[in-house]
Amino acid sequence: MRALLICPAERPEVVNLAQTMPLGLVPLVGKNILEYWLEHLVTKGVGEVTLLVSDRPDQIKAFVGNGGRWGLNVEVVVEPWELPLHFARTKYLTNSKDEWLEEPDDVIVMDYVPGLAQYPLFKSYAGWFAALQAWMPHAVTMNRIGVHEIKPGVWAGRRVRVSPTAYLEGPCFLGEGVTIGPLTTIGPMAVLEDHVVVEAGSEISHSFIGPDTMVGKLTEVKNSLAWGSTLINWKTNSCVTVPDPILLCALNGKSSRARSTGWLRQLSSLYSKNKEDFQGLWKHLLMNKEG
Amino acid sequence: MKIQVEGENLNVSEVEELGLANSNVFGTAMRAALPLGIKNINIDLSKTDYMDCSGLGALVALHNIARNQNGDISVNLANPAPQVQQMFELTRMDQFFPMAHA
Repeated sequence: MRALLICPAERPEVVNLAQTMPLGLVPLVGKNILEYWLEHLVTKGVGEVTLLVSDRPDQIKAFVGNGGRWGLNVEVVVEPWELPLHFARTKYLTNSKDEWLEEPDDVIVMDYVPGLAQYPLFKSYAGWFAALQAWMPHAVTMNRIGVHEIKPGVWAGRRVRVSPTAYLEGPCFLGEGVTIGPLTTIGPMAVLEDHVVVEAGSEISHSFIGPDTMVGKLTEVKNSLAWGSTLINWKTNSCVTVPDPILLCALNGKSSRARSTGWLRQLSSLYSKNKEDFQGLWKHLLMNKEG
Repeated sequence: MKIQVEGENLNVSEVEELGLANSNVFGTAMRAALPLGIKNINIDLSKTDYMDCSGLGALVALHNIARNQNGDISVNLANPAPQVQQMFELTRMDQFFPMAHA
């Protein structure tokens, strides 16, 4: 069986969600929307998927590959803009109708998670959070490697570190490699995606924290979507880029490694340029130590 | 930035930003304009579109100075833009300063 998936392109109501990646790759309780759809199509007996993409197709291609991870054959087709559903159906479903899933499942715009069409993801930030809230019980009970319930209503992925003095209140999801500092309060209704760090004394409730984000000491995140240094209040639609990294910032392992390599490279180049000065400094330091 | 004394009130308005770049200037101007007998410092934040930790620190410092000078003095903030309100909430300063909305 075959199916046609359409990745949502621009959605002006939730423009900040797509800052770093296309909407299809935005994480939602540990996995992204595209992943949920591909898994769902496998259960429907689909073997071949045509994926229409217009926003940052390279990122989608890099993620999905040929679909082998899901046991699917996925063909990524780049369109200059997002095709309306009926137009996509006319353009791509030209072969025998028997090969395709029955209408309306044959062509899907990924504007909701499977089975929750009543919760549109991209019409507003509040809608997105409502969908997240509705999806969480389904997502955590799926067969997921490493996800386990550490206390009633609190689900955690692999390598999660929680301080013994942290207070967790369900429903709550802690993604892979999350670190929760002492005297923090997480929940109710908190989703912390992979590799989030929450420092001491912070409180997070009714909020989503995007992957690789650091929530600083004593901060309070409520009714918000926080990702890197971007903070969106989903109730008021207000969005601010937090200027102080001690409060909220992106943790990007790659860039910090790159920075450290650059720093070492700079130091070694300085050394090679001013070898004599460095040797003099070194001797001076040794003499001081001995003296 | 506009500073006006009206009886027991010191009214501050047209603060365009309160951050690292101008928090010292703000603090100095406020200290200079703080005469004896003031009971309320009212800061209108409706024109403020940027605030960071330094700005919040300047408000806390102003609050402390005012309290030391005259125990009854209060610092009242009004009409913060949603982004500025978010900064207050993130740092829990919304629980420290009384906030009025028009």
